Amino acid sequence: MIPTHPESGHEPLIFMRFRPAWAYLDGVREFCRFFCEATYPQKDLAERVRVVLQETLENAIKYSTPGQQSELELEVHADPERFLITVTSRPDPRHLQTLKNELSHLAMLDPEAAYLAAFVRAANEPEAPARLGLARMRYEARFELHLAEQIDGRVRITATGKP
Amino acid sequence: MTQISQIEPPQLTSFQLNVTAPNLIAMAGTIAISDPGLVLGGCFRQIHEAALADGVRELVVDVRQLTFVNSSAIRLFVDWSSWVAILGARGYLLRFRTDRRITWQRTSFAVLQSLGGKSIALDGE
Repeated sequence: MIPTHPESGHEPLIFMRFRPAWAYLDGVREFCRFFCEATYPQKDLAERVRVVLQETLENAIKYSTPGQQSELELEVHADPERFLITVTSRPDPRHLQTLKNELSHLAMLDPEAAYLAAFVRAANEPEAPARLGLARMRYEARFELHLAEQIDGRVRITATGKP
Repeated sequence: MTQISQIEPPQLTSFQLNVTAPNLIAMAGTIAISDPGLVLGGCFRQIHEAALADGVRELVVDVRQLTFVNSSAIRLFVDWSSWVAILGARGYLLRFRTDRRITWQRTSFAVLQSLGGKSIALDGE
């Protein structure tokens, strides 16, 4: 069954459900980029969507719980005011806490300051993971991020931007 | 023979790196692989060390044809900028040749420049 958006009740423009495997990432990202390029007149939307998809799907794939229940779902919704990308997955609980902390920290900074802070952190911690992706989505792609834990134990990341 | 001319570029399907002695590195394609640090980090470090060994005053890294990267790949450029920033006057000027029409280049290299100070220069088309 195709899920509807919890606020609008509308079905997504794009809905995909697939195993969290790296092999699918390039194809899914480029299909969505092409869809936006072919559908919307805004010149930079396709590139912004491409960044959001790369970073959200990459995180979901890297940190998904292994096993039969680890499918991830991608939804793309749009109306004249908002463009929404949601990725629902079942992440490793340790990663979930890291993700929540990171999003809380980002929410306190404006996108440019947060991106610069992420660069400084990466430069100061050369052996640690980059952790630039979330800040990049806010600054480069101009999408805001929201995390919601679902009753079934899955986690939904919603990226919201202007078309 | 210069050290930099002996760099062996990595063989990847979506990414090409060309070295032209004495001081030009050109990158093209995309980097959206799982662990760019593992695959390309060593090569970037080799280029940096070769530039130091050759005593170049300026190394030009042309990324205009590098159309898309993931954030793990951006990290490689952060690392490289840190290496030259730490060396200061003992190192070389790292000049990125970018295309401002490509969003990731416009946003990320401006931030990199503010991080790297006088060690980093940007040429934006």
